[in-house]
Amino acid sequence: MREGEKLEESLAQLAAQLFRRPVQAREMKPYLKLTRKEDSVELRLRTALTAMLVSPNFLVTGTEPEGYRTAAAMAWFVGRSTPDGVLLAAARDGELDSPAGRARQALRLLRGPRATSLAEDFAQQWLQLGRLSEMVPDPLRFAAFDDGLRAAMRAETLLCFEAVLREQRPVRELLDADWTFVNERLAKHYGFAGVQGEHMRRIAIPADQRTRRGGLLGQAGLLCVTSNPTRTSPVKRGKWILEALLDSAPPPPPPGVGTLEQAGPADAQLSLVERLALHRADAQCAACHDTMDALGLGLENFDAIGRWRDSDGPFAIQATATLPDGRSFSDPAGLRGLLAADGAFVASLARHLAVYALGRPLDRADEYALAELRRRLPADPTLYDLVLGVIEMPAMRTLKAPAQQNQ
Amino acid sequence: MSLSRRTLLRGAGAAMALPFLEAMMPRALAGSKAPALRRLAVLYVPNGVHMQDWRPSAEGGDFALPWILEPLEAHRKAMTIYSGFVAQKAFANGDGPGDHARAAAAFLTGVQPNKRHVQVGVSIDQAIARRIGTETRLSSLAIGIERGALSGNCDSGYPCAYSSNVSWSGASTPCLKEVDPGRVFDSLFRDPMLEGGSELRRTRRSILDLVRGESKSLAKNLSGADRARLEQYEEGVRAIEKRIQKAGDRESHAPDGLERPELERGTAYPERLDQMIELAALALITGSTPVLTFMLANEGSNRSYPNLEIAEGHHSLSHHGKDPLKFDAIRRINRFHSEALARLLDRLAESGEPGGSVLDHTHLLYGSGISDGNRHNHDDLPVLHFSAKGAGHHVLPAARRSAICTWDSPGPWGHRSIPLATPVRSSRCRASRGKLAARRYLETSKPVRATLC
Repeated sequence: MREGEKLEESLAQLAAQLFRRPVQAREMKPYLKLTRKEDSVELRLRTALTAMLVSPNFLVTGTEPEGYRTAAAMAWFVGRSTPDGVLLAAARDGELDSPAGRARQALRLLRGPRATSLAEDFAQQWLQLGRLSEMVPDPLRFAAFDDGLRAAMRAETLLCFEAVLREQRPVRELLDADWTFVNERLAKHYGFAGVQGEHMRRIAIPADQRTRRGGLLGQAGLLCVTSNPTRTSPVKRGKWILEALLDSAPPPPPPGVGTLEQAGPADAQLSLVERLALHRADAQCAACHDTMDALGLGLENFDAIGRWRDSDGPFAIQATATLPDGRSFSDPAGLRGLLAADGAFVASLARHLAVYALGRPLDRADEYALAELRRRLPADPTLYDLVLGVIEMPAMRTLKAPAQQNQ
Repeated sequence: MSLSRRTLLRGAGAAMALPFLEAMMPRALAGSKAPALRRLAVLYVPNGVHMQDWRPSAEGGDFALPWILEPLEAHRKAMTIYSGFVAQKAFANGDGPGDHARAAAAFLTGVQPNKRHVQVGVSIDQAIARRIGTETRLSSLAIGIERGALSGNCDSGYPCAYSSNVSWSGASTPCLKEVDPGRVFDSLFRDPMLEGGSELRRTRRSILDLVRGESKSLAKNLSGADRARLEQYEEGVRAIEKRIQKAGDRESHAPDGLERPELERGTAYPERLDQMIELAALALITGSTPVLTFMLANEGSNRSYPNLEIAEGHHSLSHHGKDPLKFDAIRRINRFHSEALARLLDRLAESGEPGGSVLDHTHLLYGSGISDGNRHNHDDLPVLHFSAKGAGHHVLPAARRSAICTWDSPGPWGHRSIPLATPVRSSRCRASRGKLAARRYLETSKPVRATLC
């Protein structure tokens, strides 16, 4: 029956894509047998698809033959999906065995629609933006905050990332750009005039706001997730900068360290800056807090929901700080420039992409490969360069679970 | 009709009156002479409690209930307040910070969680569920309010799975808690696995046979860690098969008058807590499951409590630095949770079944894996135990620093057989080697002193 043959063909194609490898006829037999009882083609398709989607061949990765494993890894990394027909054919023809072949396919994937997952999934994880949905800024202090603003904040960051990805801009522009995405709500939040309508659109940042906005450090969503419900937290912001942007996550606090002991009612008179200075008075704390606090204080002009402010209650804000290595800045733009020029930003992004692509922490072999990756990057790389570099890591071709550590 | 004969389920704000409870009893038990179903419920609260307003002033029975526990006055007779328990494996033991993750992970497992990979141990509620959950519709149910994540870093490098689950069916397999009230309702009354008639069920069984076969052939080419992952998959398949088998030809249906609750976006925490408390009560009353774990919030939860006019996050507050304002906020949050517990106890006490009330046939544990939120200590844990044999006493365990969970949890190296035949020592127990008290616990209904497991 022609309908039956067409169905068999469709199922075989589907199976190959879902299982990420060529599927033998004898493997398809049980599926066909399963669906024989069904009346309509639609039901047969549905039953077969259900069975395939719960099959270990679909759910358990790393079991494909070599070559196909690379295809699976690439498709999952760039598209968060299974390899399409073209990629499977490339695997079959050995195209993915050479760096040039891999690069060609990777570029095709990057240009495809599924690459948006790099923004929606990777960027969201890297920048810890996921927590935005759980943030509950104090409604008394921040009445301006609501779900509409929350959604716009989230969209801004992800759209900016996607733009840098698709337009092949240097990754430096993630940190330091003169454009961003806003809608009317977000524009009002930032103090930009002349934006109307609910949809997000790209604008050039007004000249007088250039020192404040433009790049990740001025985006309200990120400023919000690095704050507390009632106030900003320079420590959280500093930690975030170190973790996400500079590849130097601070070690956890030493054991036995609590929070600052309250000295007494006199503390209420101190500004946040002065209270934080107490951190640095203790040498044990200063080791990390000297850097962390300085970075976070550079963003103090942004309140807990990312609005610009020149003072915090009675205290005027001076976003001036000096890092332990001597570099200093006097406003958010200065901090931005400093970070964009720092090689650690590219290194950090490379590491985060590698962890995302492999889906696990990096072991020693991966660290070596990561160092190689960084060495090979062009000056002023784009996200394409980084993605291609990660795909060249040897672990992407083996996709094995890491060796279990002995306890 | 007096209030004691009615229970209320609030879905989307509307209160629904339930019919007489006899109609909701599991068919196997209704009208039979069989002993009533024994139940275990564990309620978990995060970030410790304000111990100064929790710990009674004296041992024994002669004390006024501390402020946080005042809402539980009506159930004092069933309550035992324990002091001095230790969660040994929640301490760092060389692993650095991460007390929140460890507190939740070790609470019911007694195993130190692994920082790099998700790996702890089977929790005791699951071991109990495997023993006593064969007759009921669900062998266990895990619910909560904050979804939390599984991967990602939630506490100093520990995977998020640890702070969002207390119940583990396998060393790497948490019992994912359901936070959507509609879905909880479904699992109690409307198993989608059982719907669609016998044809569809047959098809499902055939699919499961197929995938089991595939798994076998796949396993031949795998080794080591890959095989372990495949085994986890196979366990999941077996669990579903059992579920289908257990249901037999029963059609799933909700008792008359019950409406599936919908979770409206933006519903505030107090309403969601109420909803979940009602569903927890329903789960236990209807005998849909004999084992229930309920996390009122994830460990390390930083939610604020606007209904109590507390704008700061719970976790931030729990790092109180001895600030009296923060003390006050923390204890008010603790009391708010106690009030929810009291409502659950009320429901269970109001619901009659042959042999007493549902509460008479339930062991309920309420507590946290952290004592003082500022110190993050795991000794002197806040623990309440409700049962028919409770006496309203404040009990200090016989041995100093008695472990709260001392059973041989099957750890990451595979399953060891649970030593059920071994008699339990009811006096002190050692932190590193304990015997499973499940059997004795269930058969005698006696809270075994110093062995809460």
